[in-house]
Amino acid sequence: MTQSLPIRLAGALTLCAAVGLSGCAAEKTRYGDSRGVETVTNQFGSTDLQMIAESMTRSMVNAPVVAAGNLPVMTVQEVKNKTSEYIDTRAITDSIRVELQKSGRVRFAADAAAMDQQIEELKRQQSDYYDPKKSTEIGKMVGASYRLEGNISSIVKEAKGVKDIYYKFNLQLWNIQNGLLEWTDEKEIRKTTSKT
Amino acid sequence: MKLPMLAAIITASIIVSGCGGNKFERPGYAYGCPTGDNKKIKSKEDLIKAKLEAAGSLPDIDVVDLRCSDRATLLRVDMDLKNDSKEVRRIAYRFRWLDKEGMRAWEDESWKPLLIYGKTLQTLTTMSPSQEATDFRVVIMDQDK
Repeated sequence: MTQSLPIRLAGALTLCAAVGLSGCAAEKTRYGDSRGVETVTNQFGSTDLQMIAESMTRSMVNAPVVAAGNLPVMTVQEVKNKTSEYIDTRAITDSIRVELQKSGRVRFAADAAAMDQQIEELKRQQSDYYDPKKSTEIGKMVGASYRLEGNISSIVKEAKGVKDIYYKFNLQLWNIQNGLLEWTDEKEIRKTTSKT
Repeated sequence: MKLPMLAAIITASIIVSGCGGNKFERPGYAYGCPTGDNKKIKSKEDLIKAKLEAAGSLPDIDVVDLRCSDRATLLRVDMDLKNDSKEVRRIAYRFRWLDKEGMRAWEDESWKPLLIYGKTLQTLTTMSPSQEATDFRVVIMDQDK
């Protein structure tokens, strides 16, 4: 079966176009700045997480209970996600805890999430395999004097190709003994995306 | 006490308390801000120049004031930025923290986006992250490009 010259030419052009297009879509991977301003989408992102953690930490180290220099013992409780999107709130509290611990101004007691592993290790050290003089004793754990809890909420509005998201992160430091609120602060973030 | 003696005491006390200005500031500080070994800082402009690191050009954005104060063994820093243009400008900034020997005292902060309306002043406020972080630089980057 023979094809006419125009048909063969059209076929060749189509093939060239396909090759050209596939070439344009070639992937390229590069390392980026993990601390850079990230604006890939308007959803909650790494810059938001880092800004919140930094803002909350710098504010809290100035709170009287922390600034007094008594190394208060804290525990981290839940940060409720009241937004409509999935946000790993544990990642936020982990970052806050890292910054606070590094500041050298507070200490953290095992929180509910770490308690199972803590008890498991304590029990393990009570076995006959361990030298009783060199193993940890049960009943010596230090309870926290303060608990950290908070929430993140958002307001989303969209109209005529413009999407506006307003996030509000609120963190509170409660005195466990007397139930007093010792410190609280919030961080607001607004992100607007418009179609150009 | 005789009048000439009283006048001499008053004059001396005025010189020591007020007119002396920054001459009587703590060693290694200027206008309340740490300066390390930099002895060339004679004015607020010199201080701002020493503390500011612009990552690229920043047209229309000026640092007009810088204030520091000790807060519970930490350093609080306020920096006033002015947008001289009529347009909204977007920048990003971060602080670089150094210890008393000029070594890095804290890991890189995240870049923080900041919007400054036209012809307005915006104040950046921060606290040092730890007691070891006794000196700083502010890095500012244009985000409109």
